[in-house]
Order: sequence, then C-alpha cells, then structure tokens
Amino acid sequence: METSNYITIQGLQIAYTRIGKGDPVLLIHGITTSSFIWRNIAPPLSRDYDVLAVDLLGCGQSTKDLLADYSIKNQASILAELIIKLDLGKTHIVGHDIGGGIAQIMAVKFPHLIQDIVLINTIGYNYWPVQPITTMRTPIFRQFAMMSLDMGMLQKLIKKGLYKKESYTEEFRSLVWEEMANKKRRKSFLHFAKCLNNQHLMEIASELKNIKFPVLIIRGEGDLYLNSIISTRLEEDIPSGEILRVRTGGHFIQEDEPDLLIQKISEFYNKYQNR
Amino acid sequence: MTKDPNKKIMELEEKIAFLHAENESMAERAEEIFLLVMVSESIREINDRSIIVDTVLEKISILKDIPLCFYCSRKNDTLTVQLAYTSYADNTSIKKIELDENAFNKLQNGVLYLVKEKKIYDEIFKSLKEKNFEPRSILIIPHKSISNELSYFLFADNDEDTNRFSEIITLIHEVINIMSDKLDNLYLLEELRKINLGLERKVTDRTSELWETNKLLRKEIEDKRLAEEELKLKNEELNNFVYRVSHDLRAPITSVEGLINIIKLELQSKSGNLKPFISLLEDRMKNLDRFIYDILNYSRNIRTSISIEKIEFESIISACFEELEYLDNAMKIKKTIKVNTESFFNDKMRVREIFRNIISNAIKYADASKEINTIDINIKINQKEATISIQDNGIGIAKDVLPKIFEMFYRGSELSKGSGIGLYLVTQSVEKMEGRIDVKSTLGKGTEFIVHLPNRFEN
Repeated sequence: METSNYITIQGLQIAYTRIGKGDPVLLIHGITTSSFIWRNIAPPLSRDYDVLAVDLLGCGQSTKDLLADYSIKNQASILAELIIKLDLGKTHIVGHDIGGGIAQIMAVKFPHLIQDIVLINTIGYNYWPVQPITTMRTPIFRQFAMMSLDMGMLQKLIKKGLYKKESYTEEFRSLVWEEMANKKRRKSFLHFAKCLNNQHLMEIASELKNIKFPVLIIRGEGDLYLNSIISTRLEEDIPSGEILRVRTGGHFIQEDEPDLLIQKISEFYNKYQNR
Repeated sequence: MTKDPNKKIMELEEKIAFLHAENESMAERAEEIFLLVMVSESIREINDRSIIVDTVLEKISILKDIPLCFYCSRKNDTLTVQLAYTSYADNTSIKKIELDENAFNKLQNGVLYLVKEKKIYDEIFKSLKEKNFEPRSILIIPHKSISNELSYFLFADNDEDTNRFSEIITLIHEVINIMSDKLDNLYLLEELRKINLGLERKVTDRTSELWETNKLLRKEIEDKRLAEEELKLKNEELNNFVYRVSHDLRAPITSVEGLINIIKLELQSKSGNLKPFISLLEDRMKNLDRFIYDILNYSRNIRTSISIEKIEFESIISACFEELEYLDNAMKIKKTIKVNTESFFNDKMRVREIFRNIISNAIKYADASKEINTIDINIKINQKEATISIQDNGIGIAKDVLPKIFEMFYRGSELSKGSGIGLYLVTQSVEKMEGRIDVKSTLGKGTEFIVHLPNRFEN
C-alpha cells in the first residue's frame, strides 16, 4: 500500500493511505490489526473508487498518546472530522470488527456524511466479550495481553481468526506482530483494548432503526470470536440492512476471501449507484 | 415426582456459578504459569541487568494488570526510581518516593502493603499520583541478591478492589526470584570472567617477560657470533698480514743481495762503475725503510687511542709535501690549499697519516702526459665536522678497481712501488676517528678523495 498521509484531528495525528479516483470509500480496521488488513482489498477497489484506509488513533502509524480517548465513540468523532476536513462528501464506509462498531456510531451520529455502510464481522450491542475493561478478569483482555507479549499466543489467536489454513501466512503474522513490536506499541494496543466499552454501542442500539441508507452486513460463518447473533440482530434492527453469510470466511475474512469481498462490495455499490 | 422448576433453576444457576468460579480459578492458574514461563523465557538470552528488570516490570504490569511498577534503590528514607513501567503513560515523572523509618522497619520483615482507605502513609499515595493515575493500593517488596545492594520493587494499582495485591504477592515473589536467579548467574559469570581475565593477563605478562628475556639472550648470542666472526676476520687479516709483510720484507733483501753480488764482481774486475748499483742499492733500502715505516704506522694506529688536539691543516699539509719531496715529480706538482678559519680538533697524528698517504698517491700517480699536474685541497670546517677534499688530475682509477683500493695490500698494478698498505691505513684512521671517506675517480681525468671528520671541538 502507499505511504501514509497524515491529518491532525483533536491535536492528534491520524494516518491513512489513499489510492484511486471516484466516490470516496473509508476503510476502518478492527483491534489487533491496522490499515494493513485492507492491503488485498484497497488496490482492486481503487480502480473505481477513491479509497482511504485509516489507522485508528493508537494503531498503525497514528499517534499513540496514552492520555487520549481511544474509545469507539471518540474514534467515530475523529473519522467524521476526517471526512469533513478532507472534504470527501458522502462517503462509503466499510468497518471490520471494532471498525464496524465505529461505523454504527457514525451511522447514527453523522448520517449526513454517509453514502452507505458495509459491516464485516462487526461487533454490536453487548454481545462482544468486553465489559468496560478494568481487569485481566475479562477473558478477551487477558488474551490480548498475552498475545502482545508472546508470539506463540499471537499465532494461536490469529489462526483461530482464520477459516482457511492457507490464509495463515508469515506476512500476515508479522503485520499483526508489528502492531505490538515494542513497548510503546504494546502500551498503546492495551490502552485501546481498555478503552473499549459495550455501553457505547448499547447507547445507539435503539437508533439503528432510523438508518436510511443501504447497509450490507457480511458475516463470516467461521468467525469464532464474534457471536452470530450480532449480525442477525443488526439485520432485524436496520430496515435497509441486508446480510451476506460467507461460509468460508473466518474473523479475518479479508485474508480468507478477499476476492469475494471485493466482488460483493462492488455489487452492493453498483446496486445503489443510481439511487 | 418432579422437582419444583424454580428450585431446579436455582440449583442450575448455582452450578453455573460454581463452574464459572472454577473456570476462573483455572484461568488464573494458567495465567500465573504463563507469566512465570514467559518471564523466565524472555530474560534467558538477555545479559543486561537493566533490560532484564525492565522486561520483568513490563510483563508483571501487563499480565497482572498493574498500572505502576517501579524498581528502586534506597538512600536513607528515600526510594529512588531506577527503572519504571507505567501502563497509563509512556514515561513517569516520579523520581523519588519518601518513606519514613517506620516503613523501612516494617519492610525488614517482609513486604509493605498499603491501602489508601486505611489513611496511613498518605504521603506515599500523594507522591505516586500522576495526571491520569491515582493509586488506591501500594505494594513494596524488598529484594536482595548476591549481586546488588538491597533494592525495592514498588507496585501501585488504582483498582477499586484494593485486596488484589494480597492475592498475587506469592506470584510476584516467584517472578522476582526468577529474575534474581538470572541476575545472580550473570553476576557470578561476570566475576568468573574477571578472574579469568586476571589469570589471562598474568599469563600474558609472564609470557611477555619470558619473551623479553629470550630476546635479550638471542641478542647476546648474536653479538657473540658477530664478535667471533670479526675475530675470525681479524685472524685471517693477521695471517694475510704476516704473509705479506714477510714476503714484502724479503723482496728488497733479495734484491739487495743481488746488487751486493754484482758490486762484489765489479770490485773484482776493478774496472766497473759502481755508482749506478750503489744508487739502486740506496733506492731499495729506502723502499724497505718506507715499508717498515708504513707497517709501524699501521701497528701504531691499532695500538694507540685517539688523542685530541687542535689541528692546523696548513702546517700539516706543508709538512707532508716537504716530507714527500723525494718522490719523482713531487716538485712539479702545482698545489692549491683552501681552508676556512673555523677551529678543528681531532687526532693530529692520524690526520697527518691521511694527508701523507693520499698526497703521496696523488704524486706517485700523476699523469705524465699532462702539461701541469695539480693537487687541490679544499677543507671546510664547521662546528660539527671538517669536510676535506683532495683532488688531483692524475691518471685516475679504473671503475673495477675503485671498490678495492681500500683493501690491505691492494696494489693497483704490478708497477706500483708502494706497500699497498697506505689507503688501508687511511680508512683505519678515518674509522678510528669516527669519520667516513668517499672516493670519486675517472680514468685519465683524476681522483677526488672526500674525508669527513667529526670536530671534537667540545672536548
């Protein structure tokens, strides 16, 4: 992918890569990854679209300031400001994992900035296994802590996130490990995990029904991390929501089925193009 | 009979709670083992103490979710932060923590565990408060290993559950012990390395001492060998000398005997003219006398040491010419002498020998085909040395002969009348005076001797 661009929002540097021309598409990654998760998706998509893959605050090349608010609520505000500052206009949003949660908050809070939304293996409601994290007693945080320190644990967790054995590559492993490669990054990663709060999605749950633009919910049936109820409920709650279930996709479906993902996203965009 | 469903639900809920707790406890234990294994693995390859402690602090902080982990040294009542890990900030501004004597007394018996609500040691809580961190419980563990002074681990937590530390004290102790073992091992290895280094240095020193002695011995042997060689050479020279001297002494005597026989016969006939024979006889006797004179000079040069006195070159040179007037052509030679005014000190007798021999050669080997025969003597004296040039326009010396002229008994040709010892004597004298001599010559054009002699002015 291209070299990072930087934009200052809330006094913090936010990094993003940008390729292609056309309607803007904003790709939002989840936890344990950064914009690299879109490396197989963004280039093909950029043939028809102006694709921006952002590094969330505290991740990838973006600022790692432990005093900053890394919560999904604040990340949603930051990305809304990014769309305004870059003058993107109505933007196609694609969110994966935590990024899906951020997209939901944006959909409710900043609908005027959004063309449509694709939610891929997204978190939702309070089904994702984090409470306001304060202690190691939360299993997911314990796992994050261990993976930040131990390559073996990291490998195990990555493998669990993939449906196809062959999707596990040295490249993908090292890209994830890079996110926690030094003390500063580990601190930032764990601070990100601690800032996660189910409450932020519960607050907007009742407003999902007001979403007017198209929403595509993609669910990898092989996702062992997130409860399938999330996608089912989202489809029910969002009137314009449609669901696509991918039998051969794990949590990191971008690694398992990149071509299918590109195809389905393109079809989704084309379907509503002349609306 | 079916049980009351509510009761059944309650039972199941209890069971779930029990299983949940059991699961929780197993997870805790797994996590503890993970921490211990990970700490021990991660410091296995590290040899830097600070990095080891740093690594351990980070592992404890992350895996036991303790926001503040310090490693401190102590001076009086103050703990000074040596290494720190804070999960809430990249760096900490806390440098020192004041503790009273009472606290240290308690620490002597083990750990110090403080909870904010108990309102004791409030000062410590205040000193650990930072922008986005306010401690609720503090744990201080003294740590002693053979490699360092008593140091202290300090942990602080902002969790509402202030009892948390009491559950993990044992585990943290175990982690610290693992670290301690590693530090002790490093310390012992370092000590061992130092001892080894000392031993190595001793061996090196001893070896170099031996080497020096060996070198001296070898030099002594070499000196002895050179002295022996010189002695051998001298012996050979002496043998040669004895042979040549006896041969050269015999030749004129044989010649004189022959002449005496002729004179006897002439006397018997009473008619003969004896004059030419007596003149020849006189000649032979003079040659013999000169030869003996040279030999005596040679032996004197060897025997006598240098005697320094002021040297008046002009008078020495004039005396030499006077002494050599008997030689054929001596009177015909046109001589020029240039000497600068600087004083010169060295061995007069030897300087005179040098001039006598070189001038004598210049006269003997004057070129008869030339209209004028010249000897130009040019002497430049400075505080360091005298440079003496004696140049003639005589017959010159052939290139192949030139390198041999300073050898003992070397004669340029069979026609030479000299002893063959003159130039040898010159080099011996120059050497004895620590000077040097050069010669340049072109056949048919002439010869130049350049003698450098040190000025013994200071003596």
